[in-house]
Amino acid sequence: MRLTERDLYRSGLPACWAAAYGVLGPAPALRQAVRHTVGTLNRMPAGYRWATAVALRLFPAAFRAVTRSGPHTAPPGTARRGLARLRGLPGYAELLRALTALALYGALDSGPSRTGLARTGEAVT
Amino acid sequence: MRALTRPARGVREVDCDALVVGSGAGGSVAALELARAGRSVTVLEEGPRVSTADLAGRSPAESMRRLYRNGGATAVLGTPAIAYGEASVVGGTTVVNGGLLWEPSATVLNRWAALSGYGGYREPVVGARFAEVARRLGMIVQEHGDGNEDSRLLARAAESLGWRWQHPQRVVRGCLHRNQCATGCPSGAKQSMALSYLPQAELHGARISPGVRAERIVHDRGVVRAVEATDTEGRRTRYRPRSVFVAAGPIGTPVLLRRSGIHRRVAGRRLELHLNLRTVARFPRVVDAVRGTMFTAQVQEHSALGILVMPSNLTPGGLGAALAGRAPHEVDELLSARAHLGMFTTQVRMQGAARITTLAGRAPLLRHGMTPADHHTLRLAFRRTARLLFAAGAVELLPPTSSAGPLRSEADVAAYCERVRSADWELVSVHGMASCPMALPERGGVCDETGRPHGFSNLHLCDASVLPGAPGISPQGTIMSFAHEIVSRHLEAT
Ligand SMILES: Cc1cc2nc3c(=O)[nH]c(=O)nc-3n(C[C@H](O)[C@H](O)[C@H](O)COP(=O)(O)OP(=O)(O)OC[C@H]3O[C@@H](n4cnc5c(N)ncnc54)[C@H](O)[C@@H]3O)c2cc1C
Repeated sequence: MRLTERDLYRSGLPACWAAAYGVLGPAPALRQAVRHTVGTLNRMPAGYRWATAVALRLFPAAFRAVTRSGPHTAPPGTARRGLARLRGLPGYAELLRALTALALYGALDSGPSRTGLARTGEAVT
Repeated sequence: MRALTRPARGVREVDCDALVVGSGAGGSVAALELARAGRSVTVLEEGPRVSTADLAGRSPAESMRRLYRNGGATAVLGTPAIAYGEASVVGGTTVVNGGLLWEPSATVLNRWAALSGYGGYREPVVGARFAEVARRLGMIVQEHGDGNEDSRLLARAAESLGWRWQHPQRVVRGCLHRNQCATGCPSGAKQSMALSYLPQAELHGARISPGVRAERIVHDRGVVRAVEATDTEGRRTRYRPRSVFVAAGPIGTPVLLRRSGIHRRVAGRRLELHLNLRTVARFPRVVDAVRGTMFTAQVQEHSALGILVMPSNLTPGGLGAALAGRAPHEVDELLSARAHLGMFTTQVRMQGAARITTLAGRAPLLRHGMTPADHHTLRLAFRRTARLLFAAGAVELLPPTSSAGPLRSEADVAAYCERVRSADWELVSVHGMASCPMALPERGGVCDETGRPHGFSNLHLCDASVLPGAPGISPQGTIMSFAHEIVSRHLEAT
């Protein structure tokens, strides 16, 4: 079973990320975040993928249970509150940390090689 | 023992002299030395082959997904779960490592000799092998560039405390300080196996087959008869080698042995790890820690306790990932303050080992048993790191526990260390070892001094798995020195 970007978007988690994190707000950053998260999950053993897929399916219900609103349309304050509550639940805490780590890595390190830096280095060595 | 089976229809048969499984630090030594001795060598490598141009053309995130096993997100379950990183690519984990090359100390080697019951890998033997590896890879002492402000601060702080520190020894030729070691060097400076031993092995006639996974070793009365392998298209090949060198890494090697019914009970029963604690430090001045090569100062004052402190390669994504357990507004604030932040790694030798519990399909399930002594060492290591970072001028530390707030004084650090539970640590490991240790059978050993699993004649192990324990330093130099000695003993005997 492969996860798709649609599966992740459908869970509402990317909408929450975009609302809650400034760095994940811009559409290109969110796209890279989703791409990296799904790409990495699809490299993981089937068991982890399956467990993550189930948790993502349950995400809208879990989010609604702690905020009384859906993740797709949650304003920033609600998204942050919802994520904070879910981070307090055993199981979801680890899952959210792992997925958010992938999302932030994907959003922030998907650019091309940092040539400006390379030039600085070249001057030194 | 597994009976010799007949090949199924549609399976290609290949006769070869020496077959090497895995092309990382250990496998590359076997490939080169066997080829240089005139053997016909085939290397099976599960991962793809990537060129320097390939690495330069891709983003770090793409390389992370492509080069690392499980996209870099392998979990070692337990309290707490540990994120474990290793690569699967031609050149193995040396393609994504920092290129640090350290020699194991005489103390460690003597301890291993006493533990294992084998005395042939002490300082004179291993030291000579290490010198050869260092020479071939062009080891240098990596001094500060005009970046690496985090390393300079750490070095100065160590001096102010009277603590021992050193510039790292690295295998780089003209490092351009691209700061992308962990996702593959885009300038070709780092002398990974893909750029050093393997091309030389090919010049001597070795054949490297990327995208080919060894599935099972077929053996009979202690003699390997065949190795069954599958490529990325699902095509199966049965290799019939005269000798086999397994170097599939600290997890891959015991998995292959167990799947083949070789020392099933002992292989992978113990996997030793170095643990990394990551501490984010805020400085009042600009540090710009993304500038510079991975790091240029390592604090070794507490190395006798198995504790080392050094800056991490900081990238925006790496910082974001390290902060991911914190509240979104905190993450945004810290990312926007990135120029003032450094991220520091404290490496700790773990006493309670991990193990491979089961093989669920292709993927092994890993579990660790961190002990109260480990928890104590982690607290001690964090306390020492905090002292060093405050001496370096840090005004705020974020400990490796997302639920803990910033620490602004030694008193805050003491209170945190008092409160922190083992489940709270956020730990990473990139060094696994000793899963098929070289030791007498009655001491839990899997292989003998020639790397042969006990009871086997033409099968050798020569990677991180054979080390008798965790050296407490970056292990590539130790692994390669052991591999050279193993292969040399084989060549002398045949
Ligand atoms: C981010 C990072 C930084 C590091 N930095 C340093 C450093 O600076 N210095 C240092 O000394 N160490 C460092 N290390 C650790 C070091 O690189 C490893 O300890 C070392 O490479 C292990 O060598 P090995 O031969 O045992 O395994 P590897 O180098 O991992 O090679 C094993 C190879 O076998 C292949 N394989 C596995 N199973 C099979 C199979 N069934 N069939 C075919 N192929 C298979 C794998 O795909 C892999 O390519 C670092 C590690 C990481 C992850």
